[in-house]
Amino acid sequence: MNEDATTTTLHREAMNLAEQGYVAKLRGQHGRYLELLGLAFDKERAAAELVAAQDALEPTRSILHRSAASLAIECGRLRDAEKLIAAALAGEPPDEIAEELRILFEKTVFQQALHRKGIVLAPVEVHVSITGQAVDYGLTESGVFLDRVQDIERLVFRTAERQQNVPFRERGKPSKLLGGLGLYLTAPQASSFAISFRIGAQLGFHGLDPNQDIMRELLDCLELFNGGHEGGLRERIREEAYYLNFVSLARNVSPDGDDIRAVRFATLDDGHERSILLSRYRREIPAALLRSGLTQAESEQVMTLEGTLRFADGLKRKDLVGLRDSEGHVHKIIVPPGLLDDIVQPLWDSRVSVTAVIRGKSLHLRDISKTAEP
Amino acid sequence: MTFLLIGLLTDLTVVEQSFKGTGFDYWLGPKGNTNVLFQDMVRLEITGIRSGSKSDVMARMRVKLAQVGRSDKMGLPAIIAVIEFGSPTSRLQNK
Repeated sequence: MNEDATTTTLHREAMNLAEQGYVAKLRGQHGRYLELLGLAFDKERAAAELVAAQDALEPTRSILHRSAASLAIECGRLRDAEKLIAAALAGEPPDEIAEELRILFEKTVFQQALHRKGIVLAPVEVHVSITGQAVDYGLTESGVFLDRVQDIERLVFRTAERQQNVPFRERGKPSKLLGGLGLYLTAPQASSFAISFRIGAQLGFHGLDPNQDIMRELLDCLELFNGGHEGGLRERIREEAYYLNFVSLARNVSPDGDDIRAVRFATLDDGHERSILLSRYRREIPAALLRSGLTQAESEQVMTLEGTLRFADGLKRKDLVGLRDSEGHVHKIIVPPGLLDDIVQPLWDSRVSVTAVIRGKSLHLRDISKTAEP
Repeated sequence: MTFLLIGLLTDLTVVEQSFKGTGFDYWLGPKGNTNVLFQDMVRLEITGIRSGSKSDVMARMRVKLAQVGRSDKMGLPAIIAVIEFGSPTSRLQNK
């Protein structure tokens, strides 16, 4: 068999293995996926090495090196990827392939940085897309998108802390027990406007599986929220502060009307496609779902106030905030557990609408949302 | 669907693929191609729209042409395929 035929045979065997690997990935068999990609990599690298000395054989030489390097990155062989990219760039790759090789190199640098911190990205991505009048193909107003991404990140951290049985954290940074837990975003995608994210965590991560124990739990709870299943959600999130925090963040992520009409989460869960479409507008979310189960009584009076949210200067209680109305009066409002850091604090100095329950001489926050400046 | 259309509308067929992180690149060549790997082949760029209008398809084509346009200097030809699954509608264009 001549060298060309050997190269072709090795390459095709590599691609067959890679295809089988992708099928395994779609079925949720991540271990099998890595095993098959490793085998594919060995063959693709062998094919690339056969043409490595032939600088004039482009684009064959650089395509094979790029393909082998991509496989190496996928199966975690970062040093091998680096060598292949360097070898390809040392030749005469066509402009487009050279650019793709540089992007791959950046990917290896990023992966190596994670590796040094002992962080591994969960293999499954969650795809989040938004549609509505504020969204064009691949373009959106920044606020409607970035606010939701921040709230999704808060949901991930809170879910992880709850799953770790950490008491609800009213203030401060996430628990040290979470180690290097973080949310990693892919570049925004067109098709309405979408991103994907993956959870990164340190190896071992106190026995929690980022996919099984955090992402699946989060999606299960979003599904219950979306269906208005208060009982099921309370059964799942027993601590009141965590419950109020979850429903308030989930409501923030939900569509707000014309600007954002739908928010969709999609992922592969054990190889099965899972999709949750949040299509209920914020104002249509049942009040019962959002209220505190500890304190609400049917007979209590409710009032709505508008004004600017301020720090409650000089107040000893940490759960008090001040709302300055248009006449300059400051209303002191007690914030229930679960809402101060993630829901109320991001609205400091903003104009807000507050619904509060009157209990004796005190006002207890039930709902808060940003409103347009007058 | 794209592969069927390529077979119907051109003298080309998918003869090779290469791996990239998000999946595969497809390379087209004449049927029965026996050239050295990736020599004289056409790169295929496929993009899909779940449901959209004719102008959505055209807009997507412009975006893809702009992306692939970066490869003009290398002299590698490409075919762009936009598939709209609602109607369904397809548009294929040479770079």
